[in-house]
Amino acid sequence: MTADDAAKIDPTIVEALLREHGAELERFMIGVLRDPQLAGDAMQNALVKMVERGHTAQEKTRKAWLFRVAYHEALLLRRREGTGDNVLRQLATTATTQAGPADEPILRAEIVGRVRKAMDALPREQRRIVRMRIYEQKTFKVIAEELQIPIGTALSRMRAAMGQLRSELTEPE
Amino acid sequence: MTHDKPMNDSKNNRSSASTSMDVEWLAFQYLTGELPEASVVYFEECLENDQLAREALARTVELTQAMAMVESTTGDVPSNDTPCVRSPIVATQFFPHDQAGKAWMARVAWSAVAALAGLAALLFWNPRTSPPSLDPGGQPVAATDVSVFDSGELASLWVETGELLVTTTLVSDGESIDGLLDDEPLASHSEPTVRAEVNDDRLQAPSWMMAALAGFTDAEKQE
Repeated sequence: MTADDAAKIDPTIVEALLREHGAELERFMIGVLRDPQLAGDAMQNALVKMVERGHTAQEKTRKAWLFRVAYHEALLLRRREGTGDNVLRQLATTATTQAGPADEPILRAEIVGRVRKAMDALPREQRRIVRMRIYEQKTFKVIAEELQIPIGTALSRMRAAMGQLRSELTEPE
Repeated sequence: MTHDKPMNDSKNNRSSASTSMDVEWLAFQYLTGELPEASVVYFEECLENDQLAREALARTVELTQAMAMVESTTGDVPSNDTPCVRSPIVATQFFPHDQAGKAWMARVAWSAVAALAGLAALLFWNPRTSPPSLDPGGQPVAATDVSVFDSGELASLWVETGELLVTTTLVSDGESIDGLLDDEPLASHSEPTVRAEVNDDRLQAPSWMMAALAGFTDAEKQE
């Protein structure tokens, strides 16, 4: 056994990490790269490094280390490839087709159902902003112009809506 | 060297809900590319060093995906939402087709009316009209002037008028209107099978008319 072999992390640990955090890691990668395909590539590179150098991370910081390594890989890829601007459209179209590394769907139907319910409960003006920003992909500047409201108002409505939706998601049903 | 917070610490050290909201909001603006450049640098430093920020970004992606999914699967604008946003698209996509269909239908209908009017005029006024026959009371009977048409002329008028009426009926039918709203040229809608069937079954002069015409012809020969 070489020194390199000794340094490698047990693949079962990697597997367990992946099972537990893979989907979240992939979402993080998508957030950085705004491209699900590149996010997948960055994750693979990160996992290779995790296996090779896993010994440098202590168990309690392993998740954070994995995310940081993946982040570095994402930045490398981003510099190399560039990323598109149509992140919202890509998120919508890929969410249904992709699965996480541990065969966990990137987006569970249950989450979508809860968000739908929460969106229905939003005040009308907030829902309108959400629709214009997320689905119609208008910038807040354009939204503010179209609705003839200050841009700060558009931002604060969106922020309030996001906060409400997020709290719905984090609360146990 | 790492500034990463341990996983457990990241859960325990959430200072307040408002701080979490700030990070999540930053993450959303970062994701959608609407964060000012200086804030992008700041947030990416956070991503480099702070697991809380990374997890916030992951959660934001999840939430935004779900929101986009909800909107994309919901389809049209909710009734109490912003129909003005979508209505121009609806209008430009469908209004011209609808107008074209209605205009075409109107043309056909007017043609049918004109043909009927022409037929009526021919029936009640004709330069070849023979002297009116008299009824037993000595009054002229204009209706019997039908006899002045030869059978072929009347049957031809019947068929022409009937064809226009049948065409109008077909256009009024839902399927035909749908077909007309397609981008295909109108010629493609004159399907030979349908047309042949119509000619065979619906545009033939009826037997009662042929019998009546035969009777009139016989009477003329006898005269």
